[in-house]
Amino acid sequence: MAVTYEPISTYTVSGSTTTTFTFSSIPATYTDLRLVFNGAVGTASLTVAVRYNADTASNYSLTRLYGSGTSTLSNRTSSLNYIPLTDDILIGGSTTIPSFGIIDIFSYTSANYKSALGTVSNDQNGTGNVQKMVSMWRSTSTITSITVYITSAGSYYFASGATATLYGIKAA
Amino acid sequence: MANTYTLIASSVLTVATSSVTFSSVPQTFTDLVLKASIGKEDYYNPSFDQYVRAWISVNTNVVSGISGTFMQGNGTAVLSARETETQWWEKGIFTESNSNGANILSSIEAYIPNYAGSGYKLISVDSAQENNTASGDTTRVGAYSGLYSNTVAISDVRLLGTYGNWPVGSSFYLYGIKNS
Repeated sequence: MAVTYEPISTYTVSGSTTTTFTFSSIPATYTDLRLVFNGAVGTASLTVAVRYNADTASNYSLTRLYGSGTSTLSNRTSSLNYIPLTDDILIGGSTTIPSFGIIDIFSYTSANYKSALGTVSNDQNGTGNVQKMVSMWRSTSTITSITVYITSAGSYYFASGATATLYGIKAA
Repeated sequence: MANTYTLIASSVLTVATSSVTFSSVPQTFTDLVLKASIGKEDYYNPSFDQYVRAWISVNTNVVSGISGTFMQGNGTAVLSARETETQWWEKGIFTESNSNGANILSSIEAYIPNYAGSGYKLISVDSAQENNTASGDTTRVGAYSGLYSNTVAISDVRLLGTYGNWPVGSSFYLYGIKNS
């Protein structure tokens, strides 16, 4: 049977000064991509975000379903300049409790805009949240790189041991 | 390239059973994925609530350190709640309504990243059950974020029914994912 789910690359944070890393030269040979992040980001409420092809313009948008542990909400944000991989509302607060995020990016080589489904799993033992989201990048370009970064970097860093893996999924 | 999404073990019930345990999980993968299709339990405790849940535990029902945050929708409303310091993730992972008939299976997918690592362990669970009911509190879709506040590796994963046995044909699959 053909292998249809392959790791393209893994980044593991070492040290305490990493604020960004990039998966570059993504092969255009897959159908979909999956980005899996697992790690802590420090001692404050931070957003771990992604950008495609180093696009820093406001070409991203997001609709989200959010559970805080006591209430739920759904909201949307248009014209973002990133897609959150984990969320800024309650992530962080610990260097030992990791957060988990998945983004499934569909048809990343197509000539249409790129949509993705996201999951944030961020229980922090008494606080935390869980989220589902759909995002879009308004670009017809093939995704060739994905940058993962802390949006308010400068004072905060990925905890050592945080990992992100980019998988490629083939339809055949 | 080697296959990186591998079936570790499976269980398709041939007799009604109240729990399924995947023990001695190999420590050679990066992440685990558990998929289950579960039928209605054969016993319903009316003092509990209408919903029968699948409880998930690790490392033979640890005695503490389990917490979770979840949200769910039942077709008319949404809610979010959490649990702390329990032995297993027991709320918010719904399988089937007491009003379900035969041939209705609920779906669970759980993702456990870095299960063999030295950090605290996470679990992310999607669960859903649908029974073609137009009204009433009988269906669920939910997302669950769980935390095991312990650095020990996860060596077994267990699903438990609430009060009764799952029917023949319920299926459980544990996969391992390698990131290299």
